[in-house]
Amino acid sequence: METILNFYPVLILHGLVYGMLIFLVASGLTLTFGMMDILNFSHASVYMIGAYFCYQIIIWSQNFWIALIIAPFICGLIGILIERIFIRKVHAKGHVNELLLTFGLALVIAEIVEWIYGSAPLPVPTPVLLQGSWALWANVEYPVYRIFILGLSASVLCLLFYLFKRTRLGVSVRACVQDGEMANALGTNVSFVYLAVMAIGSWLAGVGGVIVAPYMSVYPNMFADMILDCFIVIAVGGLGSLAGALLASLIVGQIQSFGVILLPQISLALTYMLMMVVFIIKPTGLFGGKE
Amino acid sequence: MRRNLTILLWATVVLLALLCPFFLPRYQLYLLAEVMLYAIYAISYYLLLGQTGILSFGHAAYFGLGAYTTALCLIHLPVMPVLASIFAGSLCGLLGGLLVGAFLLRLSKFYLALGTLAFAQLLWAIAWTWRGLTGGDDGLIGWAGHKIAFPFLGSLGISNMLVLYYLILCFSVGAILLCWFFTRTPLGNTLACLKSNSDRAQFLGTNIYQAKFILFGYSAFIAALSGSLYTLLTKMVSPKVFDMETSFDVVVISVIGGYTKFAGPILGSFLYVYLREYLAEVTARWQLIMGIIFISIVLYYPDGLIQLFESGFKRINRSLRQSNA
Repeated sequence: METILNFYPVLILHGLVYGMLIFLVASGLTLTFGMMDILNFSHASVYMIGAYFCYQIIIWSQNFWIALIIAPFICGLIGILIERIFIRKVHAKGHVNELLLTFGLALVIAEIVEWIYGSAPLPVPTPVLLQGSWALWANVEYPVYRIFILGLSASVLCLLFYLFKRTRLGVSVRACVQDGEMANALGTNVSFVYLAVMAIGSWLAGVGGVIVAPYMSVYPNMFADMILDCFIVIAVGGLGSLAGALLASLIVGQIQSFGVILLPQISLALTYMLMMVVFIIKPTGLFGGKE
Repeated sequence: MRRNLTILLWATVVLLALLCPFFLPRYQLYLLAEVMLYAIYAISYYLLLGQTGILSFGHAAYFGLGAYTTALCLIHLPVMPVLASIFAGSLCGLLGGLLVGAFLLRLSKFYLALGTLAFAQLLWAIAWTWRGLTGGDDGLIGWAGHKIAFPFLGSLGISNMLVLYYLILCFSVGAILLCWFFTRTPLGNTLACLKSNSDRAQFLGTNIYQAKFILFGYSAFIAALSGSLYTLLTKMVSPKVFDMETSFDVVVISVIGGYTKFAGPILGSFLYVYLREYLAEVTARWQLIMGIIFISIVLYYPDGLIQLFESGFKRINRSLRQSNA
């Protein structure tokens, strides 16, 4: 009883924090996929760039909050550049080429980051305001920073759903996800919507990168870890579905958090098993209707 | 005329490969063996991507299955002939391919790519955690002393570079020919048909799932063969054979060489191994240069560097025909 009260809630919270982090990155990925039919490998690179910018800005300014504002904006700009300079160029040559291109970009970005910062993990200090931990209830304490992650990502999530469901841009995005050609014919500026989604998605990935930096430190391999989790999330949730991505991120977060404790032998394999099982039962993902 | 010229070209390549041990140092032989190994691996991938248009991110699964099975056979069943171990490795890869085929075949393009990636990662996780069988991240070693019995030469040790080189050469020529004939069979034509329009192929009455199922098995068999030979060449196996990098190596090779032509992956593996080797001597950031080359090829040479060869080849052919006429 003691363990159930003290231990499991903390695990659930851990899972929630990680799940929300994955969602920040995966949401942009699933939207770009739904619209442009590209699995954008370089999306997780943008997340990594966000984390490294956070590290760099904190070194320069000693202030986490400046990093939290500036770094995601730079990430958004990088997303725009990737779309305008690279993806647009090969768009006519088919999806496989687009995918290979983003894959090549991811390789190059990972190498450049490793070149500049080295391959050792770099610690990022937790901002002073968010140090320490809160007592949730009797002898259960939880780090303030993780609660901050939870709060921030939840508010970003609300903002995203508002944008998606209630604004003009959101309507256009949903129209393009459903049928890009038809939306184009009806007068939506599809090329602008692509750009907007790339920018917003990259901004989200940047936010994820910044807030993950003090939590797990920054290292070049964070790209590979995140891209795999994102792929699992968008495959399980259904490519192109925001709600599906949210549900899948939360599931993956819980599995990772509980798996390490309850089934340490196979914890590495658990999320892949989840993905295979979903593929076998419902090949289009939990929320995906579209092929 | 063109056909004869092609055969002549390939015969020259094979002859050169046969003669290499007489004038090249041991280290170069090792590199060439690696080239041939990658060529088998990349050709098996060509059957998926080039012939059928199926994108897979988990080709390392079969490669690794071959490598681990062969290693386990060599360690635990010392009485088993080496060639039988190689065959066992390929067979295990075949089973893996059929398993993937059975479960993931019906998925559409990108889901399939993600599904194969998940399968390879699953095997990677197993290789990493099941220490009792696979040795975990320490990997497996200990078969350098094995010998192969040849009809006329007697038994020769497999750690002898010459023996290894010729063994891998034989297998690679065999595997490449097998794949080439596969693309010429009616099934191969069906698969090419799937690539250009799979809906129409289905309307015409083709059982596309059956065709893809066989393709998955065949491609996995060949990929696992290269994995088995890798075990013999490097003399150690670690979970690295299952990881994403191994899966993506074959993508890079196919793109550099050109994944739409049969000869592309072979050229690609040659370029990849030698570029890697010589760039790594010059700079520690060889992967950056490789990545830039990769991006430029996708952007400007989507058919790969084999295109350069093909256009040169056509020019020679045309001038020959003109001089004949």
